[in-house]
Amino acid sequence: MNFQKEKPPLPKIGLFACFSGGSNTGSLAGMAALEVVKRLGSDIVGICSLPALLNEVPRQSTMVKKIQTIIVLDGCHQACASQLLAKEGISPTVLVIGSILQKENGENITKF
Amino acid sequence: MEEVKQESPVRLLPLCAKEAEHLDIILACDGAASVGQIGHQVAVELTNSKEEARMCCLSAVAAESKAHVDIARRARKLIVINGCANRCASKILDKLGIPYDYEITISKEGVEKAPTLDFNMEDVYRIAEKIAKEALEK
Repeated sequence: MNFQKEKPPLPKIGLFACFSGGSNTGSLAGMAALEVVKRLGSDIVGICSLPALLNEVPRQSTMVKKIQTIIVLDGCHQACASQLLAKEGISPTVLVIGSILQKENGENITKF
Repeated sequence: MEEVKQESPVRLLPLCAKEAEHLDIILACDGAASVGQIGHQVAVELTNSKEEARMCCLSAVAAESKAHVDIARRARKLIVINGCANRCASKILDKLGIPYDYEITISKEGVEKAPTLDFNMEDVYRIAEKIAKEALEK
């Protein structure tokens, strides 16, 4: 696969997602994040790396500080991604996938 | 009319908190580049193809959720999939003093790290096969 070598532009919105895949809600959060990027384009919204931020990878830390709006998609009520960002001093808009689906469908999809 | 109940197509995975000792637990980086996405998809493939392998929440381990740290410590084998040379997934475990049995870095497996979410499934199958042979089937 050939990739473009140019540096991508800084997106207006940075998206962090729980994509741990330990359960359906985590997977859905990650898939939803990918879908958002596909629909809005990477100049509007970009996925940020939670593991890289936690490990203070300089490029990631600098980029996150420059992005205007940070949104977190957490999978379940444990809200691990939000908690981790809070530790880094970042207060994002938080969306919890499990809660959104429960509100829409009236069903708790977190089975355990 | 009698309601016909259809069997659910959802395959529920073994609960890692209950069965960690009998499972090979996979923790994968799911970073923002091609290699992170491949690492995540490799973990999905291994979870779907191996009954006793199961991906678990790296974010929850990083957030020091007691249950998830415990799962990582109790796992029969702990497999770590990093996307790139930054080795963020391994470093999260190193910081918490959690030992792992097998570590792989996607960018060292013939895949170029690039700022894209697109990737080839051929790379996913090839790397999943390698992990299965080197770590899960031993």
